[in-house]
Amino acid sequence: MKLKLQIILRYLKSQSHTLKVTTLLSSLGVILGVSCLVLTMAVVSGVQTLIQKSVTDLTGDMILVYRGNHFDTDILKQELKKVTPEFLALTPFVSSQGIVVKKNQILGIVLHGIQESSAGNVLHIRSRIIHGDFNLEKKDSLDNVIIGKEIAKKLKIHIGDTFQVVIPRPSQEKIQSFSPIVQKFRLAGIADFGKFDYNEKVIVTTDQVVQNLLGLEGQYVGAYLKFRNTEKVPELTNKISEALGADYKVRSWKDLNHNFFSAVELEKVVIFIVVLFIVIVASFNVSSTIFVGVLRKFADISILKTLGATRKFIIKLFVLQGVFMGVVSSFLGILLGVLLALIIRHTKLINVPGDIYKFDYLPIDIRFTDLGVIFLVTVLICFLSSILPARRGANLKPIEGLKYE
Amino acid sequence: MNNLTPILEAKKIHKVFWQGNRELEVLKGLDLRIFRGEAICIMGASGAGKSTFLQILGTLDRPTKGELYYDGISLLKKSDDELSTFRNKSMGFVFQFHHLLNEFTALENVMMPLQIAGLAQRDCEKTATKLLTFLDLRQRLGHYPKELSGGESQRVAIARALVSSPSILFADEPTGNLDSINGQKIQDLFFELKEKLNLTLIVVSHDTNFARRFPKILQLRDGMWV
Repeated sequence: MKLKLQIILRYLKSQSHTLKVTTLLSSLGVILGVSCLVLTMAVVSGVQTLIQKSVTDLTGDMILVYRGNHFDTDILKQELKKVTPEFLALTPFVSSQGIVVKKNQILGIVLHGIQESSAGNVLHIRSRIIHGDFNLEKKDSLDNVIIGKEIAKKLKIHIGDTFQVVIPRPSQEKIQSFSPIVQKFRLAGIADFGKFDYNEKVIVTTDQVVQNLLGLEGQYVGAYLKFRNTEKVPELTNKISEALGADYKVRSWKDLNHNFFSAVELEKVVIFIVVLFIVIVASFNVSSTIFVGVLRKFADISILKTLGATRKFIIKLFVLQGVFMGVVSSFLGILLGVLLALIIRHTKLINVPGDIYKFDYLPIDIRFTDLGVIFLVTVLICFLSSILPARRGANLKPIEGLKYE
Repeated sequence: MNNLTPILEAKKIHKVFWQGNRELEVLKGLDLRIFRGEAICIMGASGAGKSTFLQILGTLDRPTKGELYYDGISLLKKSDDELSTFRNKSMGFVFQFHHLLNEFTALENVMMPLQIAGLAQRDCEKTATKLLTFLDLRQRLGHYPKELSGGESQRVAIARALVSSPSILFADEPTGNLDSINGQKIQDLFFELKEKLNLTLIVVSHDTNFARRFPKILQLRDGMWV
């Protein structure tokens, strides 16, 4: 392989001016194609990460919902540690559906009661606050809450305003009837939870407030879990579900938005294939450049064959040229793509309508796995595109090329 | 193989080329037996088929019909890749034009057959340097073909042909492109190397002075021995 690489590098170095320009232009086509791929994949991955982070910031990597009346968080922690070393922390929660009432306007909401002491280990609500503070302490006998920005927008609630929440509490006497419980709250902070349905439904308060409203003294309905590697959590769902038994309903961040994540993954594959066509088209130029190189080196191929080079040797020689061009072009293309992606990320250059896409600017996430796949596929395409011209060279009879001299 | 077995034997070699619909029979059933250490010169006018016959003997081309044996083993039954490997080990070629690889130095050109055979870089370099030094080209190791004179280029080509220690050296008009002084030097070198390395030498030439130095001269006319 060393000899073949040496020969090809010498040939590339000693190319005529015309052939050098041809090589440069065909490589440029691949470079641009690869950078387009990198940029596109970074945006799609960015959307995936953005939504994933929205989910995990509010509800952790995994949600356990207890089907019984009461569970012990310490025992649950011990059990989870036994199931997987990936488990890091949990925070219990209690929640209820309800209605917000403000100036004759009503809105269906979900009241999340979180345990303040442990929530910081699992959730990242504080970083989501866009107005006000993350302060859930009682002030002037009123409980503070955090609400999603869409609730604030729809009901025109501002920091420091008060509003009422109505919770339907099951009647003790009649099974099918509810008695409404009304509680007044003060708005301490407005959060952008990153997802439209979270922003228009979620109200966050302390666990004690929700427990008192529902009459569940010291009881929780479930727990939010944190793991070492969020990406691996969907694979752990079955394992944890089996270990904890039927008492718990287990759902990973992916299960909570299964349709969305499945759709994005499919779209990612389709977009990859479509944009890959740029690289495929560019690879035809690589093929023709190698073909011209083979034609110009007819004499040398004949000499090498006279000296004992086999067909395989000649094929490998020119395929190596294709692979070399593929490696260099995809490396430069990836560099260019990453550079463009970083510029877009830091300058927030491209704005998109937030009410439609749920984000205001193009999210960018550069993943090494994406870059690796792009690199390998590009090198593979260049490899395939060099086979035909390489075979033409290999099929040359030793005496054929010597006649051209 | 014993000394009675020819190192190379050609039987009824025919070669036909097609020019459009016209059939052109260049070689018409040539036979030849060459023994180890022999030196023969094939002569003939232009178009007589000398080079074509030499290329067939050197397995660079296949005959339309006929058989070719090396030490009693049929060469034409071998695949093209097997023949390439065979040439690498057993045959050396020198052409009228040196046919050196222009992107490589004299040393690298001579190393090439050994490197193709898969020998270690250091061994290739050592063997090639030794041979080029023997051919008085020690000062030209790092020079590229365009920096060498015609005589030097042809000596590098001879070194490249001999570096794998072949049994047979084929030469097609090796002095045809050289002036008389350099031509004479190359002729002397051929016979010196033949004696020193016990080579079998098959040369095509229409230089009668050169041909006279061979113990065996074969004349070819219209694809047949005269």
